[in-house]
Amino acid sequence: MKFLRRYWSLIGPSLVVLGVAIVGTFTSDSLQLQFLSVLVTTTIVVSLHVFIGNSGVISFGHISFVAVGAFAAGISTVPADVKPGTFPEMLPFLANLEIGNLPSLLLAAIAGATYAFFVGVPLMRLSGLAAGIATFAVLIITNNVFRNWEAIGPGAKTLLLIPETTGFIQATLGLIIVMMAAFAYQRSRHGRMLRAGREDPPAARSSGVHIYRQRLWAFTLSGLLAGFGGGLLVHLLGSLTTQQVFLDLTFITLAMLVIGGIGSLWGAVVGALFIAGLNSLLFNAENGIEIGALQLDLPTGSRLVILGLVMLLVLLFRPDGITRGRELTWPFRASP
Amino acid sequence: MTEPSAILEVDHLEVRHGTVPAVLDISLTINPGEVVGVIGPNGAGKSTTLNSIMGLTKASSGDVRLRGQSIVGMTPEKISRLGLALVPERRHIFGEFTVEENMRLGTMARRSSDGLDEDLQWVQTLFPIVKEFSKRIAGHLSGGQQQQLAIARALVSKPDLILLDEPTLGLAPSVVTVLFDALAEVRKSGVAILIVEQRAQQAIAFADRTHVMRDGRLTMSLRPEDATDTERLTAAYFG
Amino acid sequence: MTTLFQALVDALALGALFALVAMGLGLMFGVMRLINFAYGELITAGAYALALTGGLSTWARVGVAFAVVTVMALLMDVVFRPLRSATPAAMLVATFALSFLLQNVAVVVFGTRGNAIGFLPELNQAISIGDVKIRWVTIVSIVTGAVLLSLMALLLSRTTIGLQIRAAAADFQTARMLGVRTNRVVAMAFVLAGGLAATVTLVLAVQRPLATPTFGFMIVIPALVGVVVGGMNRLVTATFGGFVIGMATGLLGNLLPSGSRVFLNSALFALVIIVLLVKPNGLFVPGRAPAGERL
Repeated sequence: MKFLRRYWSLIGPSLVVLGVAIVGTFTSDSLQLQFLSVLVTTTIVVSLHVFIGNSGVISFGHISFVAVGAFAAGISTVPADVKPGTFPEMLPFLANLEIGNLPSLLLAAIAGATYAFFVGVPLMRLSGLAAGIATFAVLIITNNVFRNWEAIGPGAKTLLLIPETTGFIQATLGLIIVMMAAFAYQRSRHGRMLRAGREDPPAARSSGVHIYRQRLWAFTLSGLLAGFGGGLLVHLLGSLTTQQVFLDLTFITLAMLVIGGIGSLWGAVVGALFIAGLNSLLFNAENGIEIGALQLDLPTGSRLVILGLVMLLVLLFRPDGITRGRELTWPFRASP
Repeated sequence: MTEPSAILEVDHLEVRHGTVPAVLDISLTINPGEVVGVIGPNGAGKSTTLNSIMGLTKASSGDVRLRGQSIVGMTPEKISRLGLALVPERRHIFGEFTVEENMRLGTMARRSSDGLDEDLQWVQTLFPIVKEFSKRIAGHLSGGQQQQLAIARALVSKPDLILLDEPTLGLAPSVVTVLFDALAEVRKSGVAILIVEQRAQQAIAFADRTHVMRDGRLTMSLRPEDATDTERLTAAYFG
Repeated sequence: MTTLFQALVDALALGALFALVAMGLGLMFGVMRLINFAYGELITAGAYALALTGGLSTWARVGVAFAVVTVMALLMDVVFRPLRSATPAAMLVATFALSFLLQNVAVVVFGTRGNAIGFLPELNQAISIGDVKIRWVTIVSIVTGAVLLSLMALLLSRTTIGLQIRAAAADFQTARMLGVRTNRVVAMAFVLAGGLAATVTLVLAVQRPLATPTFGFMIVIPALVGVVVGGMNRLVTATFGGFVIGMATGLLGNLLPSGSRVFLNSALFALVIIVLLVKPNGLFVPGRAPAGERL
């Protein structure tokens, strides 16, 4: 019992995630895809939280790490006999590479972490809006390079024939592993030092907290998790274009985090589940659905309008997010 | 209990920052032309009281009445147009604007544009730097000069009551004397003054009466005669 | 030599345009500390207004466009009031949500194919000065930019409302305490920003035949980057930052060898990163103090 209580801020959200996954397995095939997409998106949002939530620095570039991870996992699992034909410019070692599902996820994580470290070394000196714009620049550059440097990326073409190995087990397990990592980091010395640096930089510095170093740690870790998320993503979709890991995904994941509440793991999960869930609901409503006695049939395109409106309203009335940045609390009263 | 002729009545004012109380149950009255001082140690809540009266900080409970009219909850823009002016702690002059532009901003809250020239002249005789340095960038003035500018800026809005938050903070004694001389003239002109100070002795000597504030409350009242009574002063601050 | 001159002139026009957008963004940031992603939607709204008034005289069309944009700007002011005390992250996402929302409203109402604008297409014709060909619209851009920026500068430095706007931007609380009616000042800033947006719409409309849902969005992103690179906290530096980004984009676009031209954005944004690493507060802001935790 005590164990449950101590780790409740991890276990609680994990149970919610499990619940969502289990419900998903009982739905029709087309709906299953949406559930899986929700789970993978949540993974990405949690990886965002690891850095943004703990450091207080807004990174607009994290989807670069998702992209790097996704393309690493994707390119390395597309059958080697297919690649040279479709991608004549690709580097030979990449074209000939063909590994299994789990190794590709590991590769995605490592690729994400490496790129994040490389980017973080210069950028973690920055704070505030300068950091935001600099990380945004990284996003633009990453996308530009993948789109035009055909030696390592698919260019403007779609990367196809990626094994679709992300089913409910992979998606749920993947998300829970990422949540565990986020939780562990949050509770660790590093996490606490970073948050101290966010709350009160001078005080933290005089207590020996090296803010740059802690930020770099968090950035690299979140890059690893984001890359991993990219791997999960690409194995769900089976195909990938550079546009799918660019501006739209950046803003929607950031919005999910902010709307859920930046500071907490629970906030990341709530925000992702809420917005992704709403998105799915509206997507289905555009095709006409029945909820109990209600017949919902929305005009095409109104999904995004409603989504934008909901996001805006939440932020206007609850600027610090649905969870207000707080973790999920133990629902029962303390034992006497 | 309420004197209709009082300029300002603070009635059991309470101000909280979140859950932390900064001001607890402050009541005081200022009559037209009076000079009232408030002294006390750092963190006593003096600035918060002034900011709350001016509407910059929200009061949690209690009332503030200006000439009988309740101003609690009003915006600072509105309050400034009712004859109240604040010279904030650390002056808050617009450092990138010229002295003249700072003064122009001071005139925004005037209740009437009549008499602006006379008032301006009077302020300029009190604080010659206003005219002398009118084209200079305010941020280039010395601390004492900036303080004079801040007071001049408040005066040119023609208030009935001027709130001064630690006007002598960081100033050399010679500059302080000049300041208090000018304030004496302000008092002569009939403007009421509420002055918050750390330089206890000067404030007590200058004001008609001085209240001591500690931990958000007013503890005792001192008169000019008490300015040299070190025992009473020590008791006020530390007792 | 002529290529350089040509590139310079084109870049100057682009710079002028970006400067106007940056000034609008800077105004809203100055008085409200609001980073407004939805600013581009004002430009888009103006474009649709022009597209829908094709039958009217040119001046009438201009009038309608200005009116529509101004009303929208004032509505934005009202909508964003609750955000005045929000965190920068919430502000960014909220303004982006509005931008996202409005873009998709345009998609639902007008569709994605675009509406023909047909506004002063004659200005796309070029005149020849020696070997150099300059389109009329390029000259108009530069002149309009210069004139508008000068007018704004005069307004801000010489008028009472300009003084109030500057005061609110410098120290909002102190301005209030002195009696500045900050609600009016903020509204005025939005109206001025709207005017700038409408002008940008007119200049863009000449060069782009179709009003689309993303008409304005695409120019706001680089302009916003320019504002930060130049220095967010002061209108002058923000505007200049926008100008520099515009010029850099134009010059790089023209001067990069055609094979590398696809990497224009990478080159530009790599420069942005370098600038931010060296001068995080803004290129034109003196000193190298670490980026103020204003954010």
